[in-house]
Amino acid sequence: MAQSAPPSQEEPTHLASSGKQFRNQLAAVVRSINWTYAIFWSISTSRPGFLTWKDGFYNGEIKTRKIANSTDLTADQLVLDRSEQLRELYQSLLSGECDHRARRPAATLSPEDLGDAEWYYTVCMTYGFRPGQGLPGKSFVSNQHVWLCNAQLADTKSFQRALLAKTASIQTVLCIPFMGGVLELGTAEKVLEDTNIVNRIGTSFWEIQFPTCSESEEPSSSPSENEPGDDEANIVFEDVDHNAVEGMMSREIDCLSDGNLELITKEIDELYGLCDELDVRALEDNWIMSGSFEVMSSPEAASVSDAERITDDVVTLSYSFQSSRSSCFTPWKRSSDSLEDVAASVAGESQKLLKKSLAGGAWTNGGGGGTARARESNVKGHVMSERRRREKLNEMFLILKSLVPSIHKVDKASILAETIAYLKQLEQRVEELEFSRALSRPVETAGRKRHDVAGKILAGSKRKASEFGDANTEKGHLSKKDHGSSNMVNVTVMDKEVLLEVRCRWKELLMTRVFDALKALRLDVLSVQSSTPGGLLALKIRAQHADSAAVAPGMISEALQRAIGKG
Amino acid sequence: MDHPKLPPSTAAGAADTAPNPHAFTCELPHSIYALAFSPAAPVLAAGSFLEDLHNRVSILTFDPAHPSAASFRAVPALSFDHPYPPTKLQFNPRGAASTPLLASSSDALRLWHAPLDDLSAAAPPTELRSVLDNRKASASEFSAPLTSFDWNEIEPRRIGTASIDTTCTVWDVERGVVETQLIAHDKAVHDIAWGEAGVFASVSADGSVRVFDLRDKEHSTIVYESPRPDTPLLRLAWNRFDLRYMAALLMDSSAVVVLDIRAPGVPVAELHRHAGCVNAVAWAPQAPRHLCSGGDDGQALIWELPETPAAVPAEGIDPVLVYDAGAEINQLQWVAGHPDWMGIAIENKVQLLRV
Repeated sequence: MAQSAPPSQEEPTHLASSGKQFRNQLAAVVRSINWTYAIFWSISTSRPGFLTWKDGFYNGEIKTRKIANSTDLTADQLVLDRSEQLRELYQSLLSGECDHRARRPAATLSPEDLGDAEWYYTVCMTYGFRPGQGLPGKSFVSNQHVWLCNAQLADTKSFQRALLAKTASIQTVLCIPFMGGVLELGTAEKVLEDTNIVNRIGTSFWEIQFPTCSESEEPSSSPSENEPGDDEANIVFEDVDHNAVEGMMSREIDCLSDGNLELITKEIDELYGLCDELDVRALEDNWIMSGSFEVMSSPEAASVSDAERITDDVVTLSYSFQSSRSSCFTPWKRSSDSLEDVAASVAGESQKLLKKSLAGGAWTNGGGGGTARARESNVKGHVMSERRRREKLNEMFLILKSLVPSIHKVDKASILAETIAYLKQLEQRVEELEFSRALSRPVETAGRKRHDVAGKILAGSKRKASEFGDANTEKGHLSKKDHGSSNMVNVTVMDKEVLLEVRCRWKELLMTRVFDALKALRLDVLSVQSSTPGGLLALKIRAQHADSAAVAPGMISEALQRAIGKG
Repeated sequence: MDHPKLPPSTAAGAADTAPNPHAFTCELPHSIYALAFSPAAPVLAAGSFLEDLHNRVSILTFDPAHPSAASFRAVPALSFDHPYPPTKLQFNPRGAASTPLLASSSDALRLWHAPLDDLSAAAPPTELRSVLDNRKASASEFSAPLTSFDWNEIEPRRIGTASIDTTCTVWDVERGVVETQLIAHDKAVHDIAWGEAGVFASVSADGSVRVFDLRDKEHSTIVYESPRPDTPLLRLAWNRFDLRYMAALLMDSSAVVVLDIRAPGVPVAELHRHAGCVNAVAWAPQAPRHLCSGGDDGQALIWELPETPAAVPAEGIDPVLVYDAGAEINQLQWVAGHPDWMGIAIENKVQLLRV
């Protein structure tokens, strides 16, 4: 494989090898029936919609033979070479060297060397046909062969090159649809339509393998055996000081027997203009080998171009990159029931792999865009521990989910959110329940509460205590502080509740005495909060009057003082 | 833990999937996503897509001059293990470093030194040359996974990466450092493509195609936004031959949107002939207006755009060529130096198609 050769260099060789064989087969076919020329038209790659000259072989009269190497060439080889040379000439005229006023073309041949038939063959290279237009177009579209007798007398609407054919004395032209294009054959004799020939051509194309000999030097046969007309001596190359095309023009005019000058000059002018055009127009796709272009060479061009729209419903564009021999792709056919806009069948399963690759980290640990970065060799260990951790977390999430009845979703965020909400709910309910319970069953709760007091801290009570603290300012406040003995007793009365704050040094049985005092005062304890700030005992007690009789706060504090003061 | 052993790859030719004798298939033991052709040697890198740590990049070789089913096979010596599935693979552009490098993106950008001169069984193994990781130097161990990257062909020192953390990072691979990092979009960036030496474009889940110029990092140009807001754009392809044109793919859409950056906002054409969602799109390497797209309908369609935007027919553009792969086409790559070859990834197979 060529690594450094740019593709544009590669193609011509590629083409040449396949093209040569093709041309050889064309040569074989036309020679087998001894016609004058064969041309293969195919859909242009740069101008889809046009049939243009793809390859051809010229098998007709050769006007001049060059002196230089002619002694070594056989007649056969000359014929085989001729097509190449004609193509070369055409290409040189096509390329920048078509500076009319100036130098001679660089090809082996110059236009004045060409015989009429050769010139016809060369000019054919300039033609392009839309499907339906001209003989090749008609044959292409109808997919049947088209046989034209008396081509020189045909009208230019159906056979555009009629006048050209007349000068070249081409009398019969046959077009056969072939290999995605059209194979055209022509001869100077008048041959009546014969389907046998058509069939033979079709089959023989594939069978004949013409030995390649045009490039290599064959052992030369004696020149004297060549055909008549081979004047070895004195073929004079006339100096071209007027341009080649003009020379052709004058010759064309001379040859005419009809004198229909206008049309001819028009054609020639168009050829002129074509060369000009080609200088300007660059090949768009530089990787497609045959440059192609369009020529409207008949005066009816205007009307033809108007009627160009293909009226077929099914549009088939055959699109050959090279020859269609080995492509995996087939031309697109719009099926009759296909929709204009095919709605995407989104079943939720579309673009699966693409989406996965873009998910970015779905495969990584935690699924949240985190990757454990480590040396390659440590990664496995990390992965295992990560996996275990993950699994543990997942398990616990599931447990949490089962505990909280309101959770219905399975994703972790929802589980946590629901749990938070549930917890809050529960706290509220607990508080409400405690309240209502204490109200409805005072005796039991009080007793129970008393026993539960030691060391018990209720979370909710903190909040309630602070609320009480706020309520103090509104409801009235009675406090007695006994500074002297570092004992403190605060009594605050709200509607139904009494808040007692006691702070004193810890003594044995202190709390028992306090609660006995409260019982004596017929106060039911709702909640107790105890703490030991700085070695002292601090109690915050919420209590409620057992019966409807309210006790004066002063009495309460007195009783408490007595309780803590004893012992 | 053992990595999946690579059995001798069966090069199934005509019979199995493609009825076409010019498609060469290589079957691999795992599903394939990333594909990359080497410009220097007839070599294709295929990355597996398994959703865990252990993935493999297989190096396949073929003979473009004399292709045959037998010549399209994996080279086990050069194939290597890869952590996490590579979201994209790309060889260094032609004419770049002397040694062929293969870059891959998953959780970080990695460069592999692949000695492609010797494609025999005795070839030296592919080695990891460097890991370019944008993890912040802080204690966090997280680096955002990369969704895609692109190697700048004009300035081969540069690789631009796209990440789900909404940033695009431009690396200087020769020195192994970050050249610049931009917050490109509002959501995760899905694809990135270089246009010129200092200009790149990116598509994102926020539904926009933006063009960035490294000379002016403060500003970006929005070239297109998806018609239904916030429809993520999944893939982007910039036509290297004619820099005016870009193609983008939308999520859950069977359309290929072709954009002209000189006419932002309005697409040049929307190509609507796929029967399923489109997964991959690629421009032809040396033609100005040809592109190929492959999708869930198993079809690879080659389109030719009209020369002038005005010439787009009302009923939409038809593709010119079609290939039926038989199963969802997940990836599509055109061979850079050989416009008549392209590779597609179908499930666990890689097919080499002649165009």
